[in-house]
Formats: sequence, structure tokens, C-alpha cells
Amino acid sequence: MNLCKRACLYSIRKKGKTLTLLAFLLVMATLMLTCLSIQSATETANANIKKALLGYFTINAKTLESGIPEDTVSQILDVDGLSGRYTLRSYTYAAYFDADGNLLEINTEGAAQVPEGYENAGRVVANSNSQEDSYFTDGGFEMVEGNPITTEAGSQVLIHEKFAQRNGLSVGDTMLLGNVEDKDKTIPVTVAGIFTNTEEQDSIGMAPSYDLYDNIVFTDLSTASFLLYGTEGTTNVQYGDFYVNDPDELERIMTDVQELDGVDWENCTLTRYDNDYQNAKESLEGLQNIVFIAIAVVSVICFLVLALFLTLRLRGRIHETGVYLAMGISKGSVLLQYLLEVILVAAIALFISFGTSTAISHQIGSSLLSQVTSETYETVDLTGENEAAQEPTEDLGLAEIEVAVSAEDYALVWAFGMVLCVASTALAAYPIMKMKPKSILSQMS
Amino acid sequence: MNLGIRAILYSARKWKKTLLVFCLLLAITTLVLSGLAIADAQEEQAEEVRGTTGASFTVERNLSTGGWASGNGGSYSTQEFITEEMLQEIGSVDGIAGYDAAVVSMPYYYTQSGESIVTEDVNNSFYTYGSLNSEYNELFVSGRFELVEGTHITEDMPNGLILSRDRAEKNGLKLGDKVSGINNPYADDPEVEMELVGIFDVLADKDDEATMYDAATLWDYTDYAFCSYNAMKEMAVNYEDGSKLQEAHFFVEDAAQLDNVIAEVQNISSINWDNFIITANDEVYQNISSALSDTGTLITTLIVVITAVSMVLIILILSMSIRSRKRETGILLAVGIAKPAVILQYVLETLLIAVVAFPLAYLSSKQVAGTLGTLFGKAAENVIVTPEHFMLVAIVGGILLVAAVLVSSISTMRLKPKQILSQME
Amino acid sequence: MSIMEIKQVGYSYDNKKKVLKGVNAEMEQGKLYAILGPSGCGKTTLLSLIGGLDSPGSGQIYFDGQDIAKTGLSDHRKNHVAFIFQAYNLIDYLTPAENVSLTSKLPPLPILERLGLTKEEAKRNVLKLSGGQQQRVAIARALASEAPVILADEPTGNLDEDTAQDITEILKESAHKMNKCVVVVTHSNELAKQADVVFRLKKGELQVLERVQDGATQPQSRRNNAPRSERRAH
Repeated sequence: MNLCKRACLYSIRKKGKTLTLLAFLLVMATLMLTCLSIQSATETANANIKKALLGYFTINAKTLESGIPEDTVSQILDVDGLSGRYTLRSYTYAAYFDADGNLLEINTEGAAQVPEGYENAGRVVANSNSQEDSYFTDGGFEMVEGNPITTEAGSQVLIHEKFAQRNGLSVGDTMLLGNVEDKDKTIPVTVAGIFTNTEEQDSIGMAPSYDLYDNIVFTDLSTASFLLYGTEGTTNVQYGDFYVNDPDELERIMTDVQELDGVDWENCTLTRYDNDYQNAKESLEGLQNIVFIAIAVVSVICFLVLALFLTLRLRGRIHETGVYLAMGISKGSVLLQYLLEVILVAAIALFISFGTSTAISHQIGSSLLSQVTSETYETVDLTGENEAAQEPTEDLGLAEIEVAVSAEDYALVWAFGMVLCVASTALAAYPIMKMKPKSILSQMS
Repeated sequence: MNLGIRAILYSARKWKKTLLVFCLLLAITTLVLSGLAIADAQEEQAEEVRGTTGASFTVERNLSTGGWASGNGGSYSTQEFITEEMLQEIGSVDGIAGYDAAVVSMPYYYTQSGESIVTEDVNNSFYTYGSLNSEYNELFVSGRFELVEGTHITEDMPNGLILSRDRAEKNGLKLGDKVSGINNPYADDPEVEMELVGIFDVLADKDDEATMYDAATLWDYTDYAFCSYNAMKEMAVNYEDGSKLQEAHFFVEDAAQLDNVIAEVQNISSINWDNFIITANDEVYQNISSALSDTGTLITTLIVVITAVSMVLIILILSMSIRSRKRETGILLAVGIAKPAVILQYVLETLLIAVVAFPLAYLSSKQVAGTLGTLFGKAAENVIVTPEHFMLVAIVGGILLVAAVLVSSISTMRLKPKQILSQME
Repeated sequence: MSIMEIKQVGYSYDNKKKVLKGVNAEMEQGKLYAILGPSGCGKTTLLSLIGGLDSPGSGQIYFDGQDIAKTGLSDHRKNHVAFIFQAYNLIDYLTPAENVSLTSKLPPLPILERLGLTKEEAKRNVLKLSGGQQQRVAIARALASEAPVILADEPTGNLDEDTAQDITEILKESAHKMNKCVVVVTHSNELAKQADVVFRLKKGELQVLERVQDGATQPQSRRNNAPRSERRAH
């Protein structure tokens, strides 16, 4: 009877023992696979945290003659590691005219001075999304009517409530923005919305007339580009805020950006903003290490337990070994039989473990998902008491956490599992194989 | 022969088997103990992360509920101001890490020899925060400024001053120098002596016009200064309301507790909350909270999986070891030893091993934690196996072991002794 | 006065093959009984039933006039019977002395010494003893238990002739001198020859083959054709 047949027969006839081994290996393999899938999921979660800490850099190209050209912006956006979230900004001044070219009236009460040439002019703020401008986010501006400006092109403006009243403008009306120095260079814009300030301007008495809240106009980037640089059909901007996925890479990304052609980087200011990340960095690394520690501990102890278990199993077969040896079957052949049995069962266990660990991972994944939904609800509910108008949680474009068994992990567990089974069986068999058949038989119990 | 002696003799004479089971128990218990410690460490670490998000709330005067009066500068609110007692009361609420409140003014500073400290501007006034705890000033918290020398201004520092590095260098000032400040040298304002305690660097780009909505934007960042609230009060002694606090920022230790802390603050009865508004600010935490709790859930799940698997493993191992003793069970039954006595012997043997393995696992898991500590540094220092973990594992483990032996014995014990004897190997 | 009484005992494996069909027997203290029969005829099963290792499918087994199914099999095993197996069935982590002490409070050494083990052997690992000595330990364990009934399943099956003869003598002495009821299942004619009563189990039925009137004084058993008299209960 050859050893393959012996191995098969043993596995089939000793159903209880084979099943115990199968259960054991299956549990181990499932544990390892689940651990690995959890680990990769925590990596995603960690990357999400880093991303949500919103590290970004700002390019200040105010001093450049033509700002940051449109194609440079798209080149920057192509740099590896950017999250795709960005804000472009321009600030300028413009003289205000009605549709017929008559000058519009500005507010001068509370102004430190009315500079010459700015008697009918004000500050023009252009932002990729006017709602995200600091006047709105930090300065307490609020829309009263109409819609915020969210497009980069479109010849639109938002005007202050008081400015609208003073000049009889309403949403949908057309007005002209003119270059302060060259008043003939004008561009027609449509009033898309009206805003107001909810907080008192604290620089009243110190700020010049054009910086008074009443006199500020928000517009789109291309209009600002025309006023600043005289461009038509293309949009140049003064400032760009570019968010990155991993604040750790800010330095590298900023270097990459400064290697792009088309901009005189020497005269630009690039500033990194990753304070939140820097604050959290150490603790975050700690969190990541803890996951790693957990996986490491599980792996090491798993292997230890598996080795011990196989030893225990083999020790129960000392008598059988003695009988084989007494029958003249070589030690190598007996060892090979034992190995074959374990490998056979291990292979089955590993196959099944893919199913079980996928099921478990799926379960974990869906519990994460339900947790997210319930938590979002909770925060809105709680903060609602303290803040009258809580904006809905921003969409940060975070990756969905996927708890899944990857092919690499599976292959890894296969390789390690097999090597370990063989090694621990051989190791456990060594002391038995060293004995003489007679002493093995007499040791039987 | 009583079963206790049998149990001891078995464990001693079959020491190889005992040792194997012992090693398995030790390994699995170490795993579970480390797992528990890791779960706790994760909790602590996540709390630490939440603590770094700078979650805070602002207490400010509620102008809408206060009265109004008019003076020479226009109308002004007569709403009550924030008092220092109020600050201390709120600041002593559990979970508050620190707070700042400041009065802003634009004084002028002079060196000991009487020379004016010059600014970037022709006007030598500094945009100055008369701050209680400058560490928690928005400019430092947001990372726009960074203290590079000296210390922050604290409540118990009556006459501290922090200037920018540019100004300090240009005016030849160094830490410890005495500086005097006058709110308005053209009026009858007192001269207040201060000591330069800190120097900051500007990290943010002040030329960026994004902050134009703010009055402070008229000053260059290098012309900002921070002085003790006390010194500011002395300088502004001639301006009745000028030295009173309009708002205060409180930072919490754990962003997740912000709402609870606010609720507790609102319960302080000595403060009339009709006159003040509380606004929460935990944007950073809101952004990361879901990803952070994902990590927490994942690690917790991991530990649960580990624990569950460990239980299964223990049951498997014990059932294997009990089943390999079928023959012995048969003989013992044949010589007239009752089934419960036989099972009790097995339970006793297992517990005997556990009694040694559990405390050793406690030590070995501490060792594991220690090794991890040296390998991973700070994070792993949080991985601490506590006596509570041990108690939990010992009690649950003990119950589990007894249950496992009983369950494993079922199949053997259901058989008649004759069947056991005829089945034995 | 019979100590064991077997009444109409039937037994089948898995409710199919009937191994025992209404077996009746009576056994007395001070006698050596042998049960003969071909392999697989149910000898060991019968012995197991007498010893309370299993319960019969039908019929009753009485010890000292009481149904062992009612007094409890475990109690029966513990107090009334002692087993000796072909494979000795010693607990391998216990020394011979400890094996004897398993069920007895008597000092084990005198018993072991009487059965021919030295003091040193009595403290050795049981697996290091020869087959004969292991069987002596098993018998010692049985005798020490003070059970009046000793049930032996092929006690000499694994032993050489000389040793087998020694063991047979010990069993005989146990019956005759120690007033035990010794029941031996065997297919060894040598052993059967020395029994006081020989049963033959055939096709599930038990027949008495030989009967010796005075076993204590007669070293050799003799053929006695009186099968019917044993079946009076029928």
C-alpha cells in the first residue's frame, strides 16, 4: 500500500480527527485572512483621516504679471497626490456702472478715506465657489437672494443688499464692471444673487471705502481675469489652494508643482497649510502602529499555536508510527504520509477559508457602513441644539472602506500556511522518528 | 485513589502532553490579553487623535438680548461682559483642556532706553492681543503662528509680551528684555512695563488676501503682538469697556465629548445664559470622525475575532486531548469510577494547567507589550495589560475551559463503557 | 447461593444482529466459571453485561438477588465486579501500585507481592513491565477492589504458555481461596479445563458443558453432561 493511499485512508477513516484538524486549520486561515483584510481596511481608514485633515498648499501669484494661467492649473491638478479638491481665487477692484454705462453709487460712510479714482469702485472677489470664500465662511456673509457663483466662467456677480438698494438693482439685472485705471475697459455682468453681512465689519473707520462690506462684489474667475489681466476666453487666477490626499506628501507635491513650466515660481509664494495634520500626525502614526502590532501579534501566535497543535496531533500517533516502522515502511515514507495528510486537509481548509473570511469581511464592511449612517445622523442632531444653521457635512471625497480579502493576502496565507504545516509536522515528527521502533511500540498508550 | 491525586499524577507523568496543552493555553491567553490591551490602547490613541483636532467652543455676548445705549462713537451694546470668574468657572469643567480670551488693542511699545519699537508700517502700533493663555489663541491654534522661543503667556503671568521674530531682531530685542507699552502715547495713557517672554514665527502667507474681511488684515503679521491680559487692562485703564472680554474660546480634551462638555457648561447656574451664546467648533473632528471611528471599529472587530477564534481553538484543543483519552476513560469506568468523577478529573487537570498558564500569560503578555514598546515607541506604550484584563481573561477563560472539557466529554460519556473499550485505540 | 443471576438476557448490535437470545445462568462465589465460544459469538458482550459495562436489550441481571439495572450500573461496577482484560488496560500514567489503589483502600504492595511482583516493579512505569506482569497488576487491581465477582476477558490471550498457566492458577486461587466468583471468557481449552463450570455460548444461547462438584478439591475439571440442570430457570 503506498503512502498516498495510506494518507487518504487515514483522513477518511479517522473522520473525527480529520475534521478536528480541518476545523483548526480553517479557523486559523480565516483568522489570518480576516486580520489581513482588516489591516488593509484600516489603511484605507487611515488614508481617509489624513485626507480629511485637509492638508493643502496655496500658490500666491499675485505679483506675477499674468497670474497662474489656466493650463498651468490643469497641469498642477495632474500632479500625483492631489485630492482633486481645489479653490482658485482672484482679488481686484472695479468701477461699477449700470447697464447704460452710468456710474453706480458706493457707500463711503465709515470709510477711513475714499482713494482717488475709487469714488465709484469696490473690491471684486472671485472664487471657484463664492460660498467657500472666507467672507462667507469666516466673515459672516450670507446669501439673501439668488444663487452663489459656482462656475469659473459666466459673467455673474453677487452684490450687497445695501448696494442693491442704493442703486435699484435686483437679481437678473445687468451691470458693468470697469477697470479702475482704464474705465473704458468694461465687462457686462448679470446680478446672480444678493448677499448681506451678519456681523459688523470691525475695520470700520480704518478701512478705505472700497473695502467696506457694502462695496464688495463677488464675481466669477473669468470676469476677474479680464479685469486683472485683460484676458478673454481664458482664465488666469491670482491664487490657488490645492488639497492633497496625504499631507505627508505635501513637500514632495509642492516641489513637483514648482518644476512645472509656464510660471515664474521664483516670484510666487507657496505656503503649506497642514497644521491640523501636523497636530494629529504623531497620534495617527500611533494608531496605525497599533493595528500593525495587533496583526503582528496575531500572526506570530497563530503560527505558534498551529505548530503546537500539529505536534499534539502527531504525538497521538506514536503507536501507529511504531507499527509502520515495524512493518518495514521507511521513516521517510511515514513522515511523507503524515505531511500529505496535513497538506490535504490544509488545502481544503484554505479553499473554504476564502469563503468564510469573505463572508466575515463582508459582515464587518456592512456594519461599518450602517455605523457611518447612524453617526452622521447623531452629529447633526446634537450640534443642531447649539448652532442654529448647521451646514450639512462636507463631502470630502473619502474612499469607501472596503473590507475584502485581496488576492495577495490569500496567496500569502496559502504560502505561509503550507510552509508552516510542513515545517511543524516535520518538527513534531522528528523526535518520534529518531526513536527505535521497539521503543516506540513500548511507549504506546 | 481520589480524583485529585489522579489529576496531579496525570499532569506530572504525562508531562509532554501537559506541556503542549500548557503552551497552547499560554499562547492563546497571551494573544487574548494582548488583544484586550491593544483594544484599550486603540481607544486611548483615538482619544489622543481627537484631542489634536482642536475642538473648541466659543462663549460670546449675546447682543440680541442685551440693551443698547448710544455714546459719541454711535450706539453700543450694554450686554454684560465675560468676567474672569466666569472663565475660571467654565474652565474648571471636566474635559476642558484650556481656554483663551483676549482684548485687542493697538498699543505702542518702547525699549528700556525709551526708543520706540518700530513696525513694518510708518505707524509703530502693534496689533496686540491682551491674552490670558496665548497658546490657545486662534493664530497659534490654526498654525499661522508658531512660538519658536520662550513660553506662551499664561494666566499667572501678569506682564508677559510675545513679539514676532522679525520685530525682535529688527529692534535688537531678546527674551527677558523689559519693554514698556502705552496704549495711546498721544493721550493720557499709563506706561506699563512688560517682559519679552516669547518670540513667534509667521508661517502663514499674510499677503494672501483671503482674510481681508478682518480688521486685523491692516497689520502685517509681523506687527502682531501678544501681551498678558493683566498688562492690557493696565494699559487700557482709561477705556471703560475697552478692557472687558467679549468672547472666550474653550478647547476640549476630547472632541467626541464636545457636546457633553457644552451641555455641562450650560448647566452652570451662576451664569445667565440668556446673555451669552455658545458656538461649537469642531470642524476638523467632524471631517475625520467617521474615518477615525472606522479605524476604531476595525480594531475592535479584530480583537473580537481574535477572542472568538481563541475560544474555538481552546475548545478544539481540549476536545482533541480528551478524545485521545478514550481508552483511559473506558478503563476508569470499567473499574467502577463514576462518570462525573472522571469528567471532574479532566476538568481538574485542565484547570491545573490553566492556573499556571494564566498568570504566566499575564507576564508574557506584559513582556510582549514591553517588547512592542521598544519596537514601536510611543504608540505601543499605551498597550498595557492591566490586572482587569487578567481578571476578565482568567474568569471567562476558566469558565470556557470547564465548558470545553464538558462539551468535549459529551461524545465519550454518551457511550456505554463497553463501546468505549471496544473503540479504544 | 448464587451471587450472579442472569435471566433471559438478550442483546443485539444496532437492533439487527441478535448476539444473545435469552441467556440464563447462575454463578456462585468460590467458583471459577469459563465461558467458551467461537470469536464474535458474544462472549465479551455477555461479560460486559454481567459487569454492567452495558445494559442488555432484554432480560435482567441480578447481583445478590437485586436487579443491577435498578441499583445502578456504575454502583455495580464500583462495588460488585472487577474486570481483567486481555489487553490488561492499566492506566499508563500510574504505577502498578497506584493502579491497584485506583479502586481500593488496601495497601497495594502485599497484594502485588503475593502475585509475584517485586517492590521495585510495583513502582515502575507499567508500560515497562512484561505482559505477564502487567496482567498480574490487572488481577491485583481486581482482587484489591474487594468485589466478590471478577470478570476476566481472555486474561491469558496475550501471554505465553507458562505465564498463562500462572495467571490461571491465580484466578483459580482467587475463586477457591478468596471465595470470589471468577468468570473467565476464553477460547483457551487449558483454562477451560481448570474451570469449575464451563459454559459454551453458541448461536446466542448459553449451555453448561462441564460441572465439577467440588472445585476446591479437584484440580482437574471433568466432563459432565448435565446441560439441562443449569437451565432450570427456563
